[in-house]
Amino acid sequence: MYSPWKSNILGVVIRAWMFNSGFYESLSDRVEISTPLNSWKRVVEGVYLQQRSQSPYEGDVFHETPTGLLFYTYLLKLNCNVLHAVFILCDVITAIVLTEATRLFIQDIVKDQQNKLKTCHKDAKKITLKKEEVANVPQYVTAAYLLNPYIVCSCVAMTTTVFANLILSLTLLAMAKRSRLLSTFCLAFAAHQSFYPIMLLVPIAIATAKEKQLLKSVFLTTTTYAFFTSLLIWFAYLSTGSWRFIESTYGCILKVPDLTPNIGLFWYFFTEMFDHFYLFFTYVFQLNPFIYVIPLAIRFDDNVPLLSFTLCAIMAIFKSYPSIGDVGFYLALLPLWNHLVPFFRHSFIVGCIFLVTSVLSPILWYLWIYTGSANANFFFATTLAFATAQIFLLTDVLFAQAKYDYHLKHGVDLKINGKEGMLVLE
Amino acid sequence: MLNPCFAIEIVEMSPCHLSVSCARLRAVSILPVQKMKPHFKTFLLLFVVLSCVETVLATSESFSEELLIKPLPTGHVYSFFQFTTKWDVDPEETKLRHYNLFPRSVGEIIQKHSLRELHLSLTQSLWRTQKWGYPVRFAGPGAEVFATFYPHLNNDEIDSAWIGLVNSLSGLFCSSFNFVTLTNTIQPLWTFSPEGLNLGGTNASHQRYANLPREIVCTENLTPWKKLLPCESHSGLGELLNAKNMYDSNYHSLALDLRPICRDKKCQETSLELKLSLSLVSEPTVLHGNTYHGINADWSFKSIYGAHLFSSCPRAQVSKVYIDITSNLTSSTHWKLRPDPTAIFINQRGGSATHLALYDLNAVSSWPINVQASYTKKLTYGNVPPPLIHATRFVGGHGQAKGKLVTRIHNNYFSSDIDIVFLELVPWYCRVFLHTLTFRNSKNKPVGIDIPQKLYFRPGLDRQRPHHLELRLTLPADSVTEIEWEFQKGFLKWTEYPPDAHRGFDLGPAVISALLPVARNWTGTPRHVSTFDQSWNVSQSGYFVRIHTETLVVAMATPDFSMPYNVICLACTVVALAFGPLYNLTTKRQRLVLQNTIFIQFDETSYCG
Repeated sequence: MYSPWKSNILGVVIRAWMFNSGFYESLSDRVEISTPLNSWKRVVEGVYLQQRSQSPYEGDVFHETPTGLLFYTYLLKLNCNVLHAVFILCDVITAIVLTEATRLFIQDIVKDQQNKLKTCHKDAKKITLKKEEVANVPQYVTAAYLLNPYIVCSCVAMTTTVFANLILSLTLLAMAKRSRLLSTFCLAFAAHQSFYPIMLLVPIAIATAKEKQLLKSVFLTTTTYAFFTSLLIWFAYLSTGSWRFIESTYGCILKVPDLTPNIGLFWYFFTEMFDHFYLFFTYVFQLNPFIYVIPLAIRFDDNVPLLSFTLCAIMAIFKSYPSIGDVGFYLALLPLWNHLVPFFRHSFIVGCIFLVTSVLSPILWYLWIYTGSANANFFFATTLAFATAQIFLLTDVLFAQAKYDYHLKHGVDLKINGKEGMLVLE
Repeated sequence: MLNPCFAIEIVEMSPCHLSVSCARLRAVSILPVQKMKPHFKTFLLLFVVLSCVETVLATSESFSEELLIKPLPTGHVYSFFQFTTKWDVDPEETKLRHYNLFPRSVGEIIQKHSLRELHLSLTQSLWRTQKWGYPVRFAGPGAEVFATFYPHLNNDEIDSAWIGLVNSLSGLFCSSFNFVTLTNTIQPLWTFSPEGLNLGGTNASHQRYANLPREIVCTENLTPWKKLLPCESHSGLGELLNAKNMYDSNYHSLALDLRPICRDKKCQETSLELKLSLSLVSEPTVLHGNTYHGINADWSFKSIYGAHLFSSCPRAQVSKVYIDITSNLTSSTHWKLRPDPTAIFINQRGGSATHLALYDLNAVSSWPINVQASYTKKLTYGNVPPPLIHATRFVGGHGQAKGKLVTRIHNNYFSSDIDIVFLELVPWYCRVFLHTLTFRNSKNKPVGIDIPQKLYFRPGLDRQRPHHLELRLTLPADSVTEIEWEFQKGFLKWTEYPPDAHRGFDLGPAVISALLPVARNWTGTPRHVSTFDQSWNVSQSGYFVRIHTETLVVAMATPDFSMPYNVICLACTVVALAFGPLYNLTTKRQRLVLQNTIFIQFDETSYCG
């Protein structure tokens, strides 16, 4: 059996080596890794201003929450090596938490299938999941998280995405454990820091619903979440003494004033946007990730893991300041969909685009910013391709699940009266 | 940049113009009175009485014009024209009317925008402190404006007064002051303080400062500036201000300084002082061209200003030309002045003596005069004694993503440390990081930033206000101090770039203020006097200097300006790539159909499996 300890140790060693070899300097300035929202340099600036008894929210450099500021103030008192260790430790904890969450998720999926076996086609047994088959999936998740180059870079560049991912993984674990209180508590922290995770309220409400009491669950989940969030915001207000932080954090996330390039779709779009359409498209692009939540929740209401995975992916693709740390997070959950791989259609293309864009984007950035021989369009092209690859990957998983569900219900053969048939959506 | 040139009309109404037309009317009154009808006589009488009343009501104004010429050790000649108008009126208590010598357009600006003090300069190129010493009037490259408003105004009122002021100035001087907005304005804390009489009540929140490093200064600024002079360029030293020669120089700077001063020695009441000054550095060695006989550094009014002086301004109480002849007496260069000066005297100040030749234009008997300096020996470039403090600044780093701002300040004074105030105004799109601010000293001595109160930092806000840093440093004796901090270059919207975006963005100069213990290389006038005439042999406890460093050009990454439509289409396509499949998946049902009934479908969105 595959041992998670090996990947844990390897992951720690890689990170420790990279920290020691001074990779922080070169990685922390990479736009794919550090965005205005998660850059460590800005955190240091914020804490520095705070220590000068000057509000970091007076300027436009610091975009973390006051709660985060308090945490980072303590972190920055640590010795440099200890600080690096904290980052590594957070990544390892995230991996362990994700592993545990995946273990629970996959158990649920298997149990759910066995419950539905009666309604399934007799052929379906060929493709149903067996416990032995899925036993390794959680370990794969550990490896996929700790050895993922995106996550490794994100950790070595000391982005605050490391902490965001930790909280998000805790939310998933609490969701898998079906604990409403814990999951909304963690979610309150996650959404407090980066706003978009608020959409995970829906899978939490579904996961914690008792038999046929979805509405009640939605109400309870929303209320507890609102309670925790208002506590956090009240605490943030008390610690800074003004509401200015709302503008600096959520204002910055929603209005997208900082057009520093990143891997997302916002920066160049809004750089080139005509002024009189600016507000309209800000609304369109910000609403975009949220409009998928309810339809997807209705379509996959019996599959909370898939719904959570999808929402995490949508967040990483469509948020205003995405970084590869966010991408790495949902990529680490891919082993959950091991059984869907035969139904994937674009895995090769997606794999190629991921590889090519990851290599090309630093090169084209260099050509644009340093040598001046390329222009912004080149880098923009790689970010577009990267987003396209992510979208293909996501739709592939969703369509594969739909097809898998169909096969479970109607058998493996796609034949109508002995003639070859095919599935269409109509 | 666009220059709103609607100023000319306003300036046409300058007081000199009015007084001329007045004189014409009075001339009319001398016409044979008996020929006129009786009621016209009474009318005329009334007019005379009224003009007498006006004269009584009008408060006293005095005007002086001065020119200081100082040959510099580099072979350049520094000329400083100073036109000072003193008006015994307190604009904070009485409404300004009955303008005589004082320009009406300036007076209206003072009252409209509740101004207590105004200092502005329009400068082309950089004053080379290291080689030329200190100028009389310090000015940074480009346009610079500093104002103090009445203390009773609140912050918003001051902001709107400030915006109104810069727009008026933009019209008055035909310059780009209208590009001063709140995004490049700061409230200076220590560097700029009111220079006139301290009337109290104001603090940093009543002050505004802005600079436009990219402003180009030319004839269209000089012409309206000249019209503010009581004699314009018709007579007096104004005659020497020929645009062609002004802009053929190495450095020129127009300035306007307005401040309240003491009316008399008792200082019970205040007066308004308006000082219009023009600095010019010409290079006669270049003007003469190369000769086979070595470097010819001769200069004259004709060669520098392109004109002889035909008269003094009749309205001027003081009309004097001073020539600094110290270099003639102390170094190996020997030059002769023609015609002979009215007087030669020594100005002892702060441990240094300056020899000056004086031409009193009110005592000149034969016009025109063309003061000439002819060298008996060829000019040899000597060792330039460095000034006590000078500074340079540059941008470090490479690429268009980030950089460093580095300022090097030299303290050449052997005897003691010098305290300075350092000001830096960084535009919002250069995001500076205060925690990267470092100080290095060539002698590894501390620079005295030991307590946070010596550092003032107001971070910028995107599209709202610039970053503002002020430091109170102690420069260790005989050392070089380097101030360095890092910044990230912002990425702007395509409409926020200037037309020549690839040239880069200009950063204004850093400003260093200090009170020097000795007057070496110092040329200015003490703050409590108005004119050179009163300033000779006045010793002070310190000699104020305000050094402006170079302006910088920062290359910024630019988007492709030609393809907004393409970018909008492509980004929306990618969004649609997600929207289509997700919409189909969540709204449609799967159904099995015969394969041959399906048309060839390339569209992923309608197709599953």
